[in-house]
Amino acid sequence: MDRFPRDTTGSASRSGFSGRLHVQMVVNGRDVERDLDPRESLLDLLRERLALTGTKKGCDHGQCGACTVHIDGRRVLSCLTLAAKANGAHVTTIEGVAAADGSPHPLQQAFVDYDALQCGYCTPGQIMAGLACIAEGHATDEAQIREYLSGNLCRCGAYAGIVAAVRATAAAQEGGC
Amino acid sequence: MSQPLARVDAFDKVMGAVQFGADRVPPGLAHGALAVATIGRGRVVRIDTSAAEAVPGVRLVLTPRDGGELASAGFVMAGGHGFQSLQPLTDDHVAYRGQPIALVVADTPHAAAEAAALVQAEYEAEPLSVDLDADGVEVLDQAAVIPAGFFPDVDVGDADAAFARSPVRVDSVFDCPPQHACPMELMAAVAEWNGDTLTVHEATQNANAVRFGLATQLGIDVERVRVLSPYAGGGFGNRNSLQAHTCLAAVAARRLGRPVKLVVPRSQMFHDASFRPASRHRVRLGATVDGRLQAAIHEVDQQTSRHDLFPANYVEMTSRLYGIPNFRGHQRLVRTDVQTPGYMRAPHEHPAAFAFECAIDELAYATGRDPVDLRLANDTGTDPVSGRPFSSRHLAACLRRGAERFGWANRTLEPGSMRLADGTLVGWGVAAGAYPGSAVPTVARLRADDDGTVSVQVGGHEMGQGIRTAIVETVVRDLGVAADSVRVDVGDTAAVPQHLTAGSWGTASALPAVHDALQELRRSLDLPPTGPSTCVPPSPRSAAPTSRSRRKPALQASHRRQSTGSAAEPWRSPALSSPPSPPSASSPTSSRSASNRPSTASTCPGS
Amino acid sequence: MLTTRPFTYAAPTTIADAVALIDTGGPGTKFLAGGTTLYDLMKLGVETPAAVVDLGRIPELAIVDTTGDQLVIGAGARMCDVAEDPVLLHDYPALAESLSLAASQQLRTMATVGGNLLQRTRCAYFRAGAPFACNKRDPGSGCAAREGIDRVHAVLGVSDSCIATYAGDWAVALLAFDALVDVVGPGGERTLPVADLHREPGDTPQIEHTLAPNELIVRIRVPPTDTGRASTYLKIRDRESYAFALASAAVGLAVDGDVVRNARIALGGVATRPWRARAAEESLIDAPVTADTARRAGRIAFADARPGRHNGYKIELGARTVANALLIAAQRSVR
Repeated sequence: MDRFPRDTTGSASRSGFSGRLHVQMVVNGRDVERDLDPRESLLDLLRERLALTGTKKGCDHGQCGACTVHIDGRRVLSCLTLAAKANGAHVTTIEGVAAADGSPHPLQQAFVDYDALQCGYCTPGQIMAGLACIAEGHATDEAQIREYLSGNLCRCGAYAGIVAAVRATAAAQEGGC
Repeated sequence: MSQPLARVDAFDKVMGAVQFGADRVPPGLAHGALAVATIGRGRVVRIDTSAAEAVPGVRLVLTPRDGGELASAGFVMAGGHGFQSLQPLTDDHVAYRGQPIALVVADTPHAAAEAAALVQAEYEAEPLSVDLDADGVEVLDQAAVIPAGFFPDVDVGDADAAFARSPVRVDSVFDCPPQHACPMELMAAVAEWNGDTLTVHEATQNANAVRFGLATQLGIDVERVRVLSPYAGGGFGNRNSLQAHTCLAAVAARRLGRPVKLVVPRSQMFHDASFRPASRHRVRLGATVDGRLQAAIHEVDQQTSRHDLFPANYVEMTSRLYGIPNFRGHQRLVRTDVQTPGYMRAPHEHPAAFAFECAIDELAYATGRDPVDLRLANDTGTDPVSGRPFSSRHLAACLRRGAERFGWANRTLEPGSMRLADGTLVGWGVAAGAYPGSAVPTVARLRADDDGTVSVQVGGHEMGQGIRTAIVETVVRDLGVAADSVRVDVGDTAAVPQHLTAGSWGTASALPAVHDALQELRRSLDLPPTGPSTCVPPSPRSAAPTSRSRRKPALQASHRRQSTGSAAEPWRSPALSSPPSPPSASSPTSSRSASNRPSTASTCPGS
Repeated sequence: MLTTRPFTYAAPTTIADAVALIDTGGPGTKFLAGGTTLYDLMKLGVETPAAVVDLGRIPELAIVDTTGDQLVIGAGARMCDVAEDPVLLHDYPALAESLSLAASQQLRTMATVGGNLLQRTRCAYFRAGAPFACNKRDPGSGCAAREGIDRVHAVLGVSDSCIATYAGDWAVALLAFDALVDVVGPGGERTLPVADLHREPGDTPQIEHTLAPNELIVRIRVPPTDTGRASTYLKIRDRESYAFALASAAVGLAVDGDVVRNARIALGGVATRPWRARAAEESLIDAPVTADTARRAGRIAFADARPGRHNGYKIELGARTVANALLIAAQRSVR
């Protein structure tokens, strides 16, 4: 098999394409700049280059939801997002959810209170999906939560607690707490 | 304590602060990727790594040419440490689809993956047999090939004659497919050498097997190997022993003098790890016209690999579910071209119960007897195999209680006879299962410091079942200390020997050891055997977190503040920041023995 | 797995620039929309573009206008946003449902309505590659599915070369409503019916659609119809959510008094491309929708189905899915 041609120019060539990218983004409120290979996923950038290992790799093919993060406030799968796509964006990971003083977000507290986890591996993705689910207005009842969190798998089977935690948090927000 | 504790690690988990195996980014880290065979069985005739080696950033390519550095860890069910005896990359043999044939290590994950895809191999392929019915499988009588007494067949009375005489007979065959545990956490290892000492971070249910297995494979002293698995992202039996990728990461790390992280892709988990084997069950039941069982014959064919015999253990349970006076259980092993199967979520009891209970259900319909009633009528207080009375048996109580609570009396016998108001058909059934309650030898070491910290090091692995929480609760109930003053180390071979945590026995084994250690602590502190301890102070360190708990007291480990340093700083769990003291000389086989070392608590004031 | 082949990357901000780049990039240059198909397949080595044109920064591609007679939906609009458009929800529930039921919310947030049309099959042999023969990946090499486990494979539109199911939902609902696709290439803009976008495999399963490699879908338009309101998209799958269809049906009805004046039926999960069931539609005209007429229409829809080894169940399942969808749509006609 022939090896593929490789473009390692640092800046966009006249053709408009680059083999090496420079990206700037804001991750959990902090400015980040990196040089990238276009192949790099946002997930691998976060975990391997920024050491933000709270976001998990469960399948790397967009099938499990463990890698869920927020880009500009909307939930996406970081394993199927080229890091280049996040250029100029605000990225929020599980490490950026707690308050500045370290106190947990109400949804994080609800996950503790409703025992919405066991091994904890899917938990960051569940919380990121749950936060977005509430913000989207898709947490009005249990059936809707189950549908809108269906992209997040939990092999330990903590679904009942997860749904309860999301519903309770949404209800508290609706109640103006 | 009036209320159960919330999980002690829940707070760290919701903050994303728990570090799983691959959540480590040590300085100088290199990344591994596996190249796998594209045939299912045969031989690698030629392997060309030149294109792979030429990819920028590639530091190393291991192939079977390098196999001399590695030995087999042996099969765990035959006295070894590995999920299978076959270690990929030790020779040119391809035994199953997806078998790794090379490891590439590079500076970046994508360079490693690119290079792995460029490894070229030529093969001599042989026909592949993966189903129980395929041409080319080899069928073995388990009794003839597994040592006597180890998972024996069962033979009570004369089941064949009794079956032939029975007025009502059921004869059915059930096929159970291979199934894979697929825990959420991918298989991954981070291997790092410090001089000639190897440290491996990997999710496992058996850090001891990983440790001793690696030592065997690498030909080094076990004292030179440390394995840490403080948290596993699910196990389900998939992580019961040493897997095949770990030693490859270790060899690469040793060659390069850099830590190596190898994350195995999800698709390879179906090939690189054990799984619940396919099994076929023929169940014959003979009964009187009113459903009293006279005979049962349970014959099972179970898949195994070509290189190992994974023992079948189906009939131990089915022969005891009911008081059947004549029982013959016969197990055969079918060699197929797969990696060695293993324990995944009661791999034997689950399919066996499914098959046997379906047959019991068919018997209920053949005799016109209610399925719960039939089971109760065949209950027994005596083990039909040994003839001894059961020390405890609650199947009948479960059936009665369940029937009452579910309103079973409203169920009509005729299939298709129940409907909802909108016309939807309702189907409703009952089935029983049983699983052994076991315990394993366990070592616990307990230490009380004069700052109020109580440290527990015990054999076990936390994979979400809550063993850490159960241990903390044990200490809290006993000593009356605050939960966040208790520190638990599990899954670390440098602490105490780590038993295999599986079979629902992990917590059941750890807690008695911890309890004994607490008793010894009390004796050494001149405390009475029970009651809150007056000289272990309440924790001075607990910072009450902002509490918005609702249903349960919000129990957390002490508040961990996230590092506010540079974004590239890896977050470290405080639980791991100060490694525990090296293992004592105490024998790992002494069961439930507390540490020989005196506690460091000062003399109790006023005692 | 990770993407193995290195590629170069460009992120234009206009449609014109994107179209120009696809030519300057040369052969092996591909458009990247949400990435949920292309990046996934790059990680499997199924797609190996040498260069990628990212369409994610082109605002003009995402304009949606549902205020006029026809729906005008920019190809770059996100599936989750279009799914919640009030006009779709009220006037074309089948379209909204086909988007909502398509995938997880995360995927729908990333994926575009244009990219989704061109998603590729979920056939496991196609995705796995060697040692499994696949005429899509390697024309002429054979089809492993035909002699293998074809449980989720197609019973309509199959050929000796390929039985891979078109797994999408959105295209099926658009087909039912005779949607149009606007496409831009170096030669300018053209329009084609969505019915002409996808191809059956025939002898060339590697050619899945009729676009040239340098053409870009810019817009989807749904013409006015009297079958929009009383419509539904019914998706039957192994689990309640987050799975591809074993069988699905997009159905729309125009009912006048008791009888059907116009009927639209399109099938998903059962064919090698989105499948319009015109004979089944005709069977309903001038008749009331009853359990009997609905079931009959379902059977007609599958009259030419060819079962494989493990997928024969789709014929009965698919027929009943059509029938159930018709009954749901009929209920909506009395709203």
